[in-house]
Amino acid sequence: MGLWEAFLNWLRSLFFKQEMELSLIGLQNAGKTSLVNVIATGGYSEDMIPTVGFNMRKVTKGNVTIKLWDLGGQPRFRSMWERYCRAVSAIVYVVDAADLDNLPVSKSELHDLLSKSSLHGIPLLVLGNKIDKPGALSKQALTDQMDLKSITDREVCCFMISCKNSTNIDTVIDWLVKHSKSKN
Amino acid sequence: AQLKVMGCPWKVAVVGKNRLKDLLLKSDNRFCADCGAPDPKWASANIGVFICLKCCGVHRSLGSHISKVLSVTLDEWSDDEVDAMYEVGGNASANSIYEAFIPEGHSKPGPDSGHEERARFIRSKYELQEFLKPSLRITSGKASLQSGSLQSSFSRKIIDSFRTTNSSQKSERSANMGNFWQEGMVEFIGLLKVTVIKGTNLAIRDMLSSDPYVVLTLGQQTIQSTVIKSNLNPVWNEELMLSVPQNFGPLILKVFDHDTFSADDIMGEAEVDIQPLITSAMAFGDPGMFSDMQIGKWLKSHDNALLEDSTVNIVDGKVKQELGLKLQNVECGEIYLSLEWMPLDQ
Repeated sequence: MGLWEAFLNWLRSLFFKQEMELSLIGLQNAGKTSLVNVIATGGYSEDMIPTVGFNMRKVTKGNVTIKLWDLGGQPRFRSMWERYCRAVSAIVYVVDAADLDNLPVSKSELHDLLSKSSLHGIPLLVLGNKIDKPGALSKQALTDQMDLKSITDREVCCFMISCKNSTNIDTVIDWLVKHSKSKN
Repeated sequence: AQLKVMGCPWKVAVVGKNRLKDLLLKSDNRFCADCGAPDPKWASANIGVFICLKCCGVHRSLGSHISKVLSVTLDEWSDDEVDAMYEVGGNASANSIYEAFIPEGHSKPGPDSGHEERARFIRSKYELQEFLKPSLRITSGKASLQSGSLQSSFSRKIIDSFRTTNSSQKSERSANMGNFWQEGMVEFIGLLKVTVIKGTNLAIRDMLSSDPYVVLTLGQQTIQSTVIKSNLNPVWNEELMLSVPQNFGPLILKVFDHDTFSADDIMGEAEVDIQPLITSAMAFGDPGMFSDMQIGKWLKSHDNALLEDSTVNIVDGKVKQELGLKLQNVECGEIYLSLEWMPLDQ
């Protein structure tokens, strides 16, 4: 980035506070809460307790404030995902890329959710997590198995990440920041 | 009414007056509805508010077609007049209507405000009815251009709308207001019941202590707790009601030190995001269908006022949230609240 461009960005950040609201969704133990922690503090913890209902927290990245709804992945909470997604700027769907047994369920829950008319057009970011683990799928394999190509009514993006090793977390943050809206 | 049959009007008057005094003892009626001066002894019987002597003077000048002023202690009250006061439900309830939208640039007079300021506000509030919800104001806009009799009929309409449900007890207030809003008003999605539990280690603003009270603001609505004299660890356990509009913002809490002879000093503030409570309540639909459980959590972080993570729970079929707040922009002090979401049924 040129010096002039950096200066312009800095100037812009003084006047344009951006904010966005995101929902983090996915099956239990996919790594949603870990992702929040990595984004918010950079810290990673191996053992996490399951999220009960949701955790809400705000994270500020540069001039962007992100309100994160980190939703519990247990079956009893899945019917409520839609409600938390209605007003968000983007839906982030986290998949354990090394848990091949649960991929079919993860796929059907995702497609069920996206079929809700209230969520039409909301951008989707699919994250294949735990690529540090042996046997984790490639991006191409995950895209195929999750049938992401069939989603045509919205912007869809897919990254492979590791919360444990902080792999590709910057890319995720960049994508999120690009999808934030100007505060009125 | 039974006593009347027994032919003892004197007793009727005493019973009516006691009921009136009971109403006057409710916390929101301990302060003048118009300027907040403590211990009001006057009332507008047709509007349904308790007011102080200074504001009483302005009310009388409006004419009895707009405000019918009676003394709580000196005047005779008919049963109907006492009933009407109960039906409105007191100052907080009346102000949630008459002061629903106080535009910027207008502010409520204080106990020490001059006559000019006081008169201007009271006229705007009741005669011109400028601070009603916009949907009510459209009707009143016409009325305010016309004669006073139309004015009073509109005041009547407001009272009638309080009257739409049978019971007149304060506990029924939310139900009353539910009906009130259904009459063509769609801006409000529910009520937020805030229990101001206690404060700890509050800042000193007088010589050795402070006389703290809590002011809550949601959008254009403001409501305050009682003043607790000389106490830095006050226990209020006081319930305050706010109506929540469709596009609600944060709940702003401010603590003030009450001063009799000067402007009140601020003792800190905090912002509460009520979205976790309301969104999760809506996601669960009818909480009565669920047993007691945690349904969510608002996490403490460096950019909010939480003392610790605050959980949202279903308790006895109600959606509630407990919060401990570290007061901001002040040297010390914490406030503990409990929130409860009361949706308006579709």
